[in-house]
Amino acid sequence: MQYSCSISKLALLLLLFFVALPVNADKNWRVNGNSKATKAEACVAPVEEMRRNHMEMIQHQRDITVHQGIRKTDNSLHGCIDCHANVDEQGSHIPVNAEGQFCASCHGFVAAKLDCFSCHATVPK
Amino acid sequence: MKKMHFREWGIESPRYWGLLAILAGIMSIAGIAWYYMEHNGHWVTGMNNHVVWGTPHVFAVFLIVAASGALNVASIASVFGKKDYKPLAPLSGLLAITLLVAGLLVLVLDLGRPDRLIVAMTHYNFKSIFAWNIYLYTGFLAIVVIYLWTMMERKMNRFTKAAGTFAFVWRLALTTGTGSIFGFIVARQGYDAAIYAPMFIVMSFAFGLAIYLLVLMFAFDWDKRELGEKLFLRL
Amino acid sequence: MSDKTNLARRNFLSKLPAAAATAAIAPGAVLHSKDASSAPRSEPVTSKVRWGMLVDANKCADGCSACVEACNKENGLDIHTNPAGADVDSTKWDQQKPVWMRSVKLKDLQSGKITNLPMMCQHCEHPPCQDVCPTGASFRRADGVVLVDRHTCIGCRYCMMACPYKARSFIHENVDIKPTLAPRGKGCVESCTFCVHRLDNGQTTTACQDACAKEGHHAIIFGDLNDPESQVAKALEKYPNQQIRDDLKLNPGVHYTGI
Repeated sequence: MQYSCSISKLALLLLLFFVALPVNADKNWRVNGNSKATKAEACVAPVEEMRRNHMEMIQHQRDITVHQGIRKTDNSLHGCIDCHANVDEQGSHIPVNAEGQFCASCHGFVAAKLDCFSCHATVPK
Repeated sequence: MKKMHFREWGIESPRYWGLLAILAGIMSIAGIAWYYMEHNGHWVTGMNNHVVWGTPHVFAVFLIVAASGALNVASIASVFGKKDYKPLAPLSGLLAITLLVAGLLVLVLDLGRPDRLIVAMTHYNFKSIFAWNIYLYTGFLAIVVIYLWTMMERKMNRFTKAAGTFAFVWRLALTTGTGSIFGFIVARQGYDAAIYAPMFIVMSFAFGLAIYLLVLMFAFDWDKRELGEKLFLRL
Repeated sequence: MSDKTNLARRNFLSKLPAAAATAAIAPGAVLHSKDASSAPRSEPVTSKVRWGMLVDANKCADGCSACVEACNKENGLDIHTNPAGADVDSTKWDQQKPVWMRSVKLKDLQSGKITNLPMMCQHCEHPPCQDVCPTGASFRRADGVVLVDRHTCIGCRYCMMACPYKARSFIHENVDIKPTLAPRGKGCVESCTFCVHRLDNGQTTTACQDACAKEGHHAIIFGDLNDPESQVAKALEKYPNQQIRDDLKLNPGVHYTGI
């Protein structure tokens, strides 16, 4: 009984692992991307801070931009997209929220739905 | 009428569940229709930039106005002291809550972005009558629940008049608020008039009472009970 | 205890001259940033500037729609297409598609004179759309531009009902191509922004104005109403002008002459 329980647990774990992998696993854009960000030294803030706070930074900045008209900022959404969008073989930018791309690689894992791109452009201008 | 007895609606089980099944069917059709609109966008409704509000708003406003009117019968009993109407009061309260929830549901689901309801609940512009209405509607629900409680819990019966009066005043404010949505619009000559608030109050008396009577007649008819003519005619 | 109070007062008094100096220099600082061109704004907007427009209906040529086309191109309205699966009936799409600027043709029944009025959001000083928005998404910026904060908009369309000029449009369909400088999404309301993405990046003209000038009509003059030296202020002084529906006392930023 105990033995079969642990095997089924293992099977479940393996299943979850394979399900969580991106479908287009032929190229891992996160590791082998060609966006400006992959070549850059650092983001506008340290990685840990970005991971925890990027949503607040973006939200705070959007209110400032919309209500006060301030566009010169490090924290603009367009700045993020400009840096983090990868370029495919034909030379055009891949939407930054497509599967396997920068945003989805984390947001898919944490299952937090993104609302930004229902309105905002997903590629740099 | 010394004491109110609450008992089940006296119809056979299959009929009851059958009625619920029919209602659930209608609701699921509505749900599918809403999903279709939400997925494809408002263009499927035929509303456009010139006809901004359409059938959903007609129904939502109708239901909300009827909700405030449905409470009238309970007010006749509790606020105006006509004790003969007391047994009719709990149904009136329940119907008021139901109609209001239905109206609000139609309204919220018609929003361009219903996923932003939390935003609507946290960002208020109190110059807008809509913002006041959010409080008026939710407050009405809470007050009518308390009012029902005072009616149905014997120990609380002594608070019925207070709760009833508060609910009556609140529902007048609510109906005025709903009328003011249209009355405050300066842009369109057909709407910009102070008459809208009292007009809506008068309409609520008519709609609410009508729906209440229809529901009452339906319930009594299925229950095979006689509805006394005296009380009925005076409504 | 008496020590604390004295220190607090002393600190306050010592900061006063610095504050006064900043207040004296600040207006100059604002003016300086206003002059800078093609630079993204880094200071908040103030009410020192009030953006406005004068439209000369006499100069607006019959049959010309350069301003409308330019607006559509600038703000990504021309690439916004009929949703898949919709009727090919174009009148329906014409009424559902977002329109920021339109040219209204008026005919005087007695004299037969035809007047063309380019109509867009009038950017009122007391906008009814701001008053009725339940979440405060529809707002008037300090420099007079009336905008919709589409992060907060819930799509109730009350502002569309409240606008006397029918200036607002609702996005009824999914948006496929989203322009970077004019984000647009299903379910929110939008209207003419006086090309705020240009203004915030240091330019001082709108797309419609540029297109009209290019066509040679010069019917649209845009600029700062508060600056007596600006082209629009001088034109307002020169030509008799009026605001549309001024009986509502909204004080729009768009003035018309020749009607």
